[in-house]
Amino acid sequence: MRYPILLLLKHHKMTPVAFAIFTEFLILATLGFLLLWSLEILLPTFVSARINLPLYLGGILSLFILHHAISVWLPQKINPLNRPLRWFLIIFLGFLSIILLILSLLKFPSPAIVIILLFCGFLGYLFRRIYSAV
Amino acid sequence: MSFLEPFFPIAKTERRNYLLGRALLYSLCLFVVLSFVSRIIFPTIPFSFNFNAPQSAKNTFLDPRNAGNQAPITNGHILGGQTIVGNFESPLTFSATRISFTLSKNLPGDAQFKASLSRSYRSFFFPIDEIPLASFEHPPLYRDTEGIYYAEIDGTLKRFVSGAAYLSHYPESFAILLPPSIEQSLPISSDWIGFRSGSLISFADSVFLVMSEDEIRPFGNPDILLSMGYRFDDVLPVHEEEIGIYERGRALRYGAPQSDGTLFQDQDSGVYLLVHNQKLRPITSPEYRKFILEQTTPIIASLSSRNTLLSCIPVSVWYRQKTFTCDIPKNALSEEFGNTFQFSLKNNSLDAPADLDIITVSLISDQTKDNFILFANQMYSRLLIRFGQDI
Repeated sequence: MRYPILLLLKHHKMTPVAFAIFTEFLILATLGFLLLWSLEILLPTFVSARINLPLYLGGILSLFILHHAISVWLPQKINPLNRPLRWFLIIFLGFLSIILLILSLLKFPSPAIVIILLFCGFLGYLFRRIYSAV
Repeated sequence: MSFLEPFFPIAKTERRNYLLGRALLYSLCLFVVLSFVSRIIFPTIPFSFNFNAPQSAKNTFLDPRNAGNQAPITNGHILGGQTIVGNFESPLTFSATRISFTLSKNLPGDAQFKASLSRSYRSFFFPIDEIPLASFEHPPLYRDTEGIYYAEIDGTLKRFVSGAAYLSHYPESFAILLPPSIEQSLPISSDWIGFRSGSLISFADSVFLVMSEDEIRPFGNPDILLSMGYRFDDVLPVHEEEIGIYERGRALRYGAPQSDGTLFQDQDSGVYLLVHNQKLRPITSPEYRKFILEQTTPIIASLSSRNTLLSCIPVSVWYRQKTFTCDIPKNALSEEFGNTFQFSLKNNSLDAPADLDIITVSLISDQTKDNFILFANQMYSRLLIRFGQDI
């Protein structure tokens, strides 16, 4: 191995602990972004006047890439989510999405709402197809 | 897994470290969230002016100028012994003020400055006019048989845009019936006379302040009208043709000066003062005082409160010689008489002119119930503006 320090890190007993906490931090940061973004939709400029949201998103994406790289380098068995928690997350995120969608569409004329919803549905279908293909 | 279990299998020997790290992570998150929420509800509000970009919309420290002759200072150059003043406005209550400024180059020797802060209404900071308003002067005024009012000005007959506009300037008794000889001999001007400067008029959903004979400016939001000391009871609804004679200026923001014609009353002496050409003109004419008080409610202010100054001596910070700061720890300025602050910075180094790069005055909010209620009201107003009748 060209970099013995990396090898040392890989097999260090604290590495899985640090990686688990890093993962948890990433999830909290993503939930925080979701919350701030929801607030921004509700009250435009309320968050963006104080926090640079694109920079925040860029930071999270960079951390996700780093997380992915580490997870490839450090194969870890992931404990699957238990069923109640999975359903709680699905219901919570689905409910949040529906609320945000309703609030975003509130002032649009009815034909525009239909077009936007159809377009959202089409995008969702497209993503599903791409995801399935991968 | 659940939230009580790790995302990855952790060896039993490392479980304790994992739980410790997790507790640390959640404590940190809680601290960040709480401090963020606290800073939003009880903000430290900076008001700054960048002399390298004097036209920037980001400059919230308004109208930096020479205290002596009121000439604008946009290059940041302060001569020795000169004082620069500027204004900013915030309706919140504050516990402390932090002043900081950066010079574009080091000053030779020991630089000496004195920073001072006072609070009142923006136009109430104007100097007192030595010439009082001692009589109710007016041009010859007429009313024709159709009820149209005229003023004879510069050899022409100028029409008032409406009876209400006339009555905002003069009482009914001043106008005499238009004699046919005057009507035939004097040309009628194409210019109209609108409402008295300082009047509040409303049309559709907007309230406007009459700034001059030909300009009105809308209030940015209802809180700005109240913060400037005006009252909604004094707003006069007008018709389209009455408002059509004016040009609409940009919206009034926090810190905007009250227009000419605005009436103040000094609470200490009871004297009425009228804003006129950037001066406060005492009204000594009983006739005019009686008339103006029928038209508008005076804004109660206080000359002694206006003249109260809180000061500190800025010193350069240890890491940068060109940056000066000082704190005014306790805000002893009265909150009753206006929300506009006037900041002044005097260059006490008589033979060393200073060049300012940027100046910032930060108001540190009190963690009080009043400020919390104000924040909640602002949020509610924003929600109403955003969603209107949908919520």
